[in-house]
Amino acid sequence: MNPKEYIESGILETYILGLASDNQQEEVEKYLQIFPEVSLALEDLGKVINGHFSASIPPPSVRQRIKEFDHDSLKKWDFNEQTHSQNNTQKEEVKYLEVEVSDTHLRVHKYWRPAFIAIFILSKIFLAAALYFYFKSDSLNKENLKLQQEIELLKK
Amino acid sequence: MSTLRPTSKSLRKTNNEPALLLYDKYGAMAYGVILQIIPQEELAQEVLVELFNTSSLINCTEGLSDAICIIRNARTKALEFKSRLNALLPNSEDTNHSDSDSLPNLIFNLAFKQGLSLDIIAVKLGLSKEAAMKAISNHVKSFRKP
Repeated sequence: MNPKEYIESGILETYILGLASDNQQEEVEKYLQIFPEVSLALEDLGKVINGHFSASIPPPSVRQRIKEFDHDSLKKWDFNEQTHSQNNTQKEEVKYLEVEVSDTHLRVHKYWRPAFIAIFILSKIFLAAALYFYFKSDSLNKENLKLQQEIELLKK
Repeated sequence: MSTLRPTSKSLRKTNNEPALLLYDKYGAMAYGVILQIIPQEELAQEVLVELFNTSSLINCTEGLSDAICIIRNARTKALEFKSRLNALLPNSEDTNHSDSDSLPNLIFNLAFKQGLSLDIIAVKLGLSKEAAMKAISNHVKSFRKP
């Protein structure tokens, strides 16, 4: 069949749309390699079909969902890869270690660290202030007592 | 033409970027293909999301252009989804063709939208396979803008 007849037979349309049988697909691929006009006709047909089906634009949320879907599936893939490789290495015999947890450490939120430091610093400031005012008050009391004694002596 | 250049090797990367690039280029076309088979927009969008995960596009064979590969994969996905839907909801099957359908349109609907092989269509309609292919060609010619 000459290239023109081949193009007009409708085989290229069925090839692009996925309606051609395996044998027909192989045949088209051979023609594409041999006849440049068949390649050009296929490209032209591709443009026409692309233009026809591109009339409807999917909403932007679809792209975002594809992005998220891929991201999740890749994570799953990585996880599966890891577990698969682990399974291969430990395929012969699965052993479980009995572990008794005797951890006395307390796990707290990370914000507790600056809170503890702030409380510690404030407690030191208050302690210093308390000592300062205690001794100051003590000295003032002693001075007051001394002055009262002097006043009493002067009255006498 | 760049749209038909064989570049399906890029689809084999595990990175999701190639799939997103393909979506940006052919997303509307794939959506259009899916809408032909599943006219409900929300369901068509579900199929579109499923199509453009990287693993489903890895099936593109070497030597096929991205555009052809996506048309075929979109159709296959949509037909699979439709058959699943028909299994769940048997009444939803779209088998009503109006008598006013032209023969090329009818053959295109049966082959592309219903997933029947050209051999079966030719037998059912009492045509040769070549005539069925020619009818599809005539229908695709109507895609060309005047």
